[in-house]
Amino acid sequence: MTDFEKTMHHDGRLYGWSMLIAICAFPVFASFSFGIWPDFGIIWPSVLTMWILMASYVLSEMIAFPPILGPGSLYLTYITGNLQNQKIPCALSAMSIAGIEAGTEKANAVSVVAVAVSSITTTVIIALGILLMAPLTPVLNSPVLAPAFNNVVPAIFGALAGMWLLKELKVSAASVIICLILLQVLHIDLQWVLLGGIALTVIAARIMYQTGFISKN
Amino acid sequence: MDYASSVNSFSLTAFVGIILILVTIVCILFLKKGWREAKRLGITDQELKKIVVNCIGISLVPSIPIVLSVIVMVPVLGIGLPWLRTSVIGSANNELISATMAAEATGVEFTATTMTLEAWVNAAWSMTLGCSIALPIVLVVLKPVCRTYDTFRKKDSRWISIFSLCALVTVIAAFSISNAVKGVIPTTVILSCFVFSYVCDIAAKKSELKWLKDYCFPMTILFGLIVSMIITPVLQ
Repeated sequence: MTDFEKTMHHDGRLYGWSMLIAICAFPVFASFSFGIWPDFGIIWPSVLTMWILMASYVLSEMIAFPPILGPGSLYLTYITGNLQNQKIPCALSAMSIAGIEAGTEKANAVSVVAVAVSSITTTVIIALGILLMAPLTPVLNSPVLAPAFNNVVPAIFGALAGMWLLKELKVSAASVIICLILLQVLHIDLQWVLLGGIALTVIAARIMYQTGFISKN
Repeated sequence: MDYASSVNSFSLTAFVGIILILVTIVCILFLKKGWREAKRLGITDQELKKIVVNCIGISLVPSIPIVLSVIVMVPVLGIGLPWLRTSVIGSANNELISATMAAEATGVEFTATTMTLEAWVNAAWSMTLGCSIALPIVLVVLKPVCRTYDTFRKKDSRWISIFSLCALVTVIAAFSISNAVKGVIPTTVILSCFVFSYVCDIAAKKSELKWLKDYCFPMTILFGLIVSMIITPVLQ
């Protein structure tokens, strides 16, 4: 582990726990202000539902993303959210601009820059959106723009596919076929497809690597 | 004080403002450390500035649906709670599901006219406890996971770079396919962005179009959004 990675783990965990406490302090503060406390007997099913829903995703993401992004950007991503539609695209685009391979020391450093900039941008945009809520509402709800807002994620992943899937075509082909089978033939949920898809793609790539089908240099 | 005044009170909004300032400070601290490390590894200021401009561009468009979801939630939950939950950790969809479930479990409908303070408190706790679970998992699990990857990297660095690529292409393939199967419009958007991005990549290899490399990704997203606006009235 490099010195930078050690620093990122230290800072990431320190700031991560601090931010978690700060975020959890909000409902505590609200309950004190209103003099009303939650009925845990009532809310536990919704809390448990979200835990089950999110835990499976996070565990899959913990296998998938550390070798791509490195620790610093991941700690920051999980503090600020929007991994799939903002942080991953920003980090990958940053690597592409700097001409860096994913998973390297340089990739870890630029990912931290990219994710930090993206997080600050989103925080500012949301704050501006709230300040300008009244004049913005009719524009943002316009039927002409609605299709664009509904297709942000497909546009992002189409762009990422164009950038990355052709870099090592044999591995990508195996991955696309595996994901198609898992999603469309076996109808497995996305979070398990991520986990299983990565495992199967790694096995396929390992076979290609050992048989020399993929270059060892 | 009525429901709307209570949930829009200055103290709640100010509390959220303070938390978000702290989060922004953390982002700036990470940014400084990342910048310093990138420079130490030989990445120039010019490249880093390009990355900053690019990331701002890429983050702008996906921020708009988040602002929309805040606008949807504000009449029901007030300003502070949706502002906090969409600015940190949360995904708007999960937050809405959690808030709706908690409100309905309290016995009220999740609407601006029917919400009560009891339902709001239950929703706020449910969103915070339910939707923040990812962060503590990451804080506990990430370091040992990175250490494991490190051990493998020392043994065979080429293989670990292929492993990283496997993870990356699988994430892209899985999300692309899961979005494409939703209908002909997202499929067309994905395919058109794929082709546009590839063409940009080839064009950027020509010396006179080298600048295109820096703008390829945001331009492709913009292209995809324009395609979606053109094809949606035709295909629906």
